[in-house]
This record gives sequence, structure tokens and C-alpha cells, in this order.
Amino acid sequence: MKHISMAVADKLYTCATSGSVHKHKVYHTAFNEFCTMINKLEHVLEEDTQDDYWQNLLRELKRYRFLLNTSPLPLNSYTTSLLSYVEDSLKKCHYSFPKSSHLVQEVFNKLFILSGLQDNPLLEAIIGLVSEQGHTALLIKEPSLLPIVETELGKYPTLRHIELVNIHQLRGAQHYQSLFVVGHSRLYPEYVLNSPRAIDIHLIRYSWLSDIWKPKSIFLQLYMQSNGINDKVAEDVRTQYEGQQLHSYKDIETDIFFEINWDHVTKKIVTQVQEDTNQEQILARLYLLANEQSVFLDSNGSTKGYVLDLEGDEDEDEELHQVKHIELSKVRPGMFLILRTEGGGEYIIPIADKILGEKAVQLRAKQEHWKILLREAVLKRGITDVSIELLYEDANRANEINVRNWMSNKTIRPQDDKDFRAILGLVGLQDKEQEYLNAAEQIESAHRKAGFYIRDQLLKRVVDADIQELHKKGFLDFELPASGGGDGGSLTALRIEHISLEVFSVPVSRLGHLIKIKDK
Amino acid sequence: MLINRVFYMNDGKWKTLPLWGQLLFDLGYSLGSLNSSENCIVVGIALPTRAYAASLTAMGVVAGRLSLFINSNDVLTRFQQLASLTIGTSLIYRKPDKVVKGIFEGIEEDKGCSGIRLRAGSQCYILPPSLALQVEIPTKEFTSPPKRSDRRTSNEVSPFLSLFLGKEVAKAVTLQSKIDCVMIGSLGRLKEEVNETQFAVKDSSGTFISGTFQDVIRVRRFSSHEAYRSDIYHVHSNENVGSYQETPLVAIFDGATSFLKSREMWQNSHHIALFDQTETEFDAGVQAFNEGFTKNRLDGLDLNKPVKVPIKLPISIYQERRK
Repeated sequence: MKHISMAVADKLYTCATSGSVHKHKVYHTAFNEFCTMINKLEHVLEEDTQDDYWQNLLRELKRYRFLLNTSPLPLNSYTTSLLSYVEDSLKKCHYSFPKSSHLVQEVFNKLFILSGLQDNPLLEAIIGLVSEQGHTALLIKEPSLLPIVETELGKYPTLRHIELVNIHQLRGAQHYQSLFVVGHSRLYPEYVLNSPRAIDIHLIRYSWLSDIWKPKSIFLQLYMQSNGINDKVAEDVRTQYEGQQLHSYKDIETDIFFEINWDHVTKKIVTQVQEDTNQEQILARLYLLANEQSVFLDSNGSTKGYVLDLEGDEDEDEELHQVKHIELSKVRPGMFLILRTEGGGEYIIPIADKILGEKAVQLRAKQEHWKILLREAVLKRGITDVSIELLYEDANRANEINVRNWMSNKTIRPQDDKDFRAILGLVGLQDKEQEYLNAAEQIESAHRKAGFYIRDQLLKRVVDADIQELHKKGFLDFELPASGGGDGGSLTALRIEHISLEVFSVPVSRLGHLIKIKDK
Repeated sequence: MLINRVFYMNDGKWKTLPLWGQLLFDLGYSLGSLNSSENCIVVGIALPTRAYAASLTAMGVVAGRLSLFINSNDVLTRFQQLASLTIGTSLIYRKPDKVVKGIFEGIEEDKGCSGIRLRAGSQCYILPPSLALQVEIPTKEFTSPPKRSDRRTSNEVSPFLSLFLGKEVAKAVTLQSKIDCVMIGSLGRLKEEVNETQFAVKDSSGTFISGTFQDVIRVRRFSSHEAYRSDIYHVHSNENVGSYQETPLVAIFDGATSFLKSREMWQNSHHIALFDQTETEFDAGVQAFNEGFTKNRLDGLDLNKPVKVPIKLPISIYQERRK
């Protein structure tokens, strides 16, 4: 949390204590029929939905439904590619599931109707409610849709003043007179409505989604008459569309909580990188990032990484910097992960080598030499025996996990001199002990300098960066100058959208490398 | 001293402190003015932002404590604490015009009265119990006897403090050190809030007299040689708070992470947990608070007067047996 003025804090309290949530419902016959059809399809198929064919088809259909339920986009958005996909699926269905092909045909027909409609019921509702007075924002559930929604708003002069925001921005000190929230309240974190950043929140959803949101009770027992803002929930204001009679539809609880199927995305990427089984493997977590990128990072929570944290507190060293070098266990969605865009994931080594100058090759060779000898020893005698032997050699922390780490190219040397000496003794380098210790010390020092250099450069860039643009795009490219110890090159800060709970065994060489997400 | 007569600076103009600010001050004041009790009060409050919450609450605690001026319990507690020290312990004696660094030489009995014997170079002071709060135990022992055993200090009391607390109390505050409360949170932000935020009170002529939180709460970490009333610990602090010399009356947790990480360290203090509804650990913090409520809650509430809740912010207060 950044320092804010008392006046800004007062505005946030005003929003929290005087704000109101207004619920609005909109209706559209063709879209309602399409959504109902997907439900029907799932219902009829029952256990068949586990088949890959239906899973793939339903995923595509639900993604469209999800996007159109949560963003004010014309109903024909994305329908060209989806129609073509459904058409292909229909052909396959005739052979594979002939009894169900009429259902796919029906879905195709409904979608075909939508593909011809430029109607935008959610946006129409916003137009009807928006005031040109006051600071107004529209919360976008799916950050990747921001540019396309912005284009839509740009078509209407009365909407051009609306600022597009994501959920992470609403943690900060930004506040508005009006905030439009589209879709079901359950799609958003509690604080969006429980601790609002606007005096008026307009929650707009399709009428067939039942949403009985009410303020969440926080404490088991409240002291006296204390309460939250959100006893102020305005009765539903029904916004009609195209003259539809609101009582003519059937309330259907439609499951729109599709969102992105992270499991599906993760599995695809994991399969892609696990092919190389000859390499050293490491347990890693998958980070799904903005701009349809992803990256594997070490699952060991104590491993550190660089992040850009626009709203966070100071780090453990009590430094209030937006660029932080923090343990991966503390990295959260909403932060921006800093990765090397060119030349692979490792950005410290090239800069450190530049700092080391001519000595770099020789020092790195020494580092590689003892690691190779240690790996050979492990290969010959097994990791358990090597660990025990190291303990006999007076190592302090020799165990299987640490020995693996010491062998790995990710580490420079063991933290403890005793451990390092024990390794050098074990691999027969005891006569050159001091030489190897010095080499490791010089490499470590260069790595530290490289880290400071990168942080310094990033901080300079962040100061100049358009933060609003960064929120909007979800990523920011940094060009490192070729002077000052670095060899130039580019880094990117990408917003973290999701971190996998599961850990995966992946080749070490894939760590820190950006992987394009081809299919969400 | 009335908090509703405090102003803050906005766009070059003085504005009345908002109601939420007064609530947080009152909350601290209620706990600060409590007499010793067997029980601890635990407060949880869900806020839209943590900004200024810890500082205002701390200001309330200190003002509440000073409203009991001079609290004989505090004086007695400090005297007992000093009496139990090992001979040779470093001490600081704060006189109106100077600070004396010395070494504790034990308790001297004279004509049925006890006094603290303090050696400062060639000089020896016998300090009666009533001056106990003017004697501090420094955070670090003196490595060698101070070459100059005392140093002159400004005796000036800030006009803001005088108006805010009253002249007599303000003068005592500049001499007496005591930890009324600790804040556990983000050092950088709190430092900026405590030292930079401008407040004002009006004097009899209607002139605004300005000051900062630090004038009142006197955070030990942020003061060089002045008497202190509070302290701050970083949320990820590795400092050994177990060796803390005094038990603060109130521990203020600036955020859920602080509450989750540090509440066990301050078991003998009243707790105020300031939860920010937008922080990532909010749910975990509230869950821990509610679990404490379910497990430890005692009937009744030993508050001198009810905490004012002028605006709609979710607050929960219960008391539990002191551990």
C-alpha cells in the first residue's frame, strides 16, 4: 500500500460508508436462447460431456458465453471463428454422436442468429445510466478484452470519459463517482462491492442470472450498531431492451462461471515442455501472465524473483520500492513479473559477465568444473552416498535436496564455506580450494551488482512509465541501456493473472522462459 | 483536548478531521484510558484503507493514557521494573534541561523511602519513585561509561502538543518515556504518515497551530533523544520483541499480515487489528480474529465507556483472559 493523502483516504471512506450498489438487469431474447441452449446441451449429454469432443466444443461455447456475459461487447463478437468451429464440430458429430447432432445443429442456428446481430445490451444499459458528470469507470473482468472494450466505448461520445479498470486497480486509492460492474457479482473479489471505490456502483447483468448478492458479514459479532456500507443495496432497476417484456422470460440459473480454464491451459503448456526428458528436471509452478504469456518458475518458495508491485507495501528490507526482489512464495496475481524477453529467462548472468569482463570465461569455467565433477560423483556413487560422504568431509548442510541444488547451474556455490570446502575435497580439488572460493566470490559479487543495476534501471523506467497504460495493457517492455555494466537487451514486466497450485517437473532450461498461451 | 477540534491540511487549507478519523482516535482513546485489568480487549475493524488508521489509533491510545495523568499505576510499574534491574544496567534519566546517561547502582533506602541510585560519572543521583517515569532503559546497553555523562536538551514543548494535551501534560510528556502502544506494520509508510502529515489545533486567538502525529505519539524509533510514548515494528521484523522491557498497553496491527504474524508476540497487550478489506490476507486475518472470538471470548466488556461508532464501519470487540 502506498502513502496517500488524508483527503484521498477521506474519499475512500466516503465511498465505503455512503456508497450504494444499484442492481440492473438486461434482457436479450436471442442471447438468452443461446445461453439456455448450452445449458440444455450439457443437461442432455450428461456423462457424455466427459468425452474430449464435447469438452472441447463446450469450452469454446462457454468461453463465448462468458465473455459476452462479462463484457459490454456486441453479440456478434468472436462469432466468425466460433461459427466455423461449431460447423466443423457439427460435421464430426454426424459421425461420432449422430443422436446428438440435432443439438449441435440447434446451437449452430442460435449462434448464426447472434453472428448477424450487432446488439450490445450491456453497453446499452450503461448508456442509459451513465452521467457525464463525475469520474466514471468500468470494471473489466477479463483484462485481455480491454482494448476491444475501449474501442466499443470510443464509438459513443457519451462513453469516452469512462476509464477502464481491472480488479487489481480497485485495491489502490483510485476512486470514482460511478463504477460499472458487468456480470455476476460472484465473478469479482469481495472487496469490489464490500469496500467500493465509488459512490455509485452499478451492477449490470443479464436477467436470467440470479444474483442475490448482499453484503457479506465480516465478523461473527458486530459491536453495537456498526455496519458496512452495503446495507445500501438499491432494488433492482430493470432496464428493458428492444421492448422485451421482462416477465416473458424464464429465470434460468445459467452457469457462466467458466472464466479461463487454467487447468486446461496449464496441462497444454506442461505437456509441451515436458517432452525433453534428457535434461535436468526441476519442480516448478506455472505462472499465467497477461498478453497471453506464461512462464515456469522454481516451486521452491525461497527462490527470489523480480516483480513490479504497484500497490504493495515495502519489502523485508523495509524499502518502499515498486521494483522488488522477493521470494516467489510472496508473489501474487496482480503483481508484474519481470522477465527477460530476449535471450532466454536469465537476465542476471549476461550482465554479471559483462561486469566480470575478461575474467568471466575463466571464472565461469571454474564454476562449471567443480559442478561437473560433483555431478559425476553423484552419477557414480548415488546421491545418498555423496551426501553422507560430504557430511564426513565436515559439510554442515549436506542432504539430497541441497546436493541437487549445488549441482544445478542455478546456484553459484553453497552458502556455507564449510559445505563448499567439503565438495571441493570430495571432487579432488582441495589443493586449489582458495582459487575456487575466490572465483565463486567474484561471481557472487558480480551477480549482486547486476541485480542492483537491473533494479536501478527498472526503477528509472517505472518512474517514466504510464501506469494507466501498464494496467490497461498488462505488460511493459523495458530496454536496458548498453552502458553501465549491462549489455542492453530487453525485459518485460507482465501482470500475473494466475499461479498454478500444482507443481510440475520441467526441464531446468525452461525456467524463466516465456511461453505463448495458444489457447485459453 | 477534543479530537473534533483537530484539523488536517488539504490543498493549503485546514479541514476538520473526518468522522472516521475521530472514530479511530476514540477507539484508541477508550483502550488507552483503561485501568489495569485481568483481561485483554481485542478489537477488529474492517476498513476501506489502512492509511492513517494506525497513526490515529495510536494518537488516541497515547492521549487516553495521558488523560489519567499522572497514573500512579504506571509510575509504580516503572519503579518496580527499575528496582528489579541488575546492578550496572545502563539507564537514561531525563531532567527538564538535560538528559543524563548513567548506570543503575541499586535501590537506596533512606528514612523509610526508596530511591533509584544512578551513577553518572562522578555524580550520583537518588531518584524518588515519583520520578520513575523520567528514567528509561535504553534499547542498547552503553558499551562504556559515557565520556560526557549528560547533554543539554531543549526544554521547549511544542505549541501544538500544549494545545492538544494541555500545558501540564505536554510538559510531563517531554520528560517521561513510556511505551503506551506499539504499531506493527509498514515502516516506510508509517514513518511518512507520522512525521509528514500536518495537523493543527486553534489557539485562543483562532490561529492554527500545526504539528504532526509524532508530536503526540512520539515513536521511539523516529525520535533521536526525546522522550517517547510508542514504538513501531516492521511486519516482517526479526527484532527480538521478546526482550522488550515494557509491556505496551495496546498493540496495533496495521493490516491482516501484521495481525497473523505478530499477535502472539504481544499477548499481554490489548489488540487492535486494522484489517484493510482490499488486502490479500484480509480473509485470513478476519478468520483468525473470528476464531479467537469463538475460542477465547469472555462475557462482558471492561470498557470505561462505549466506543463511539459514528459511521458505518464493521467493528467487533471482545475481551479475553490475559495470557
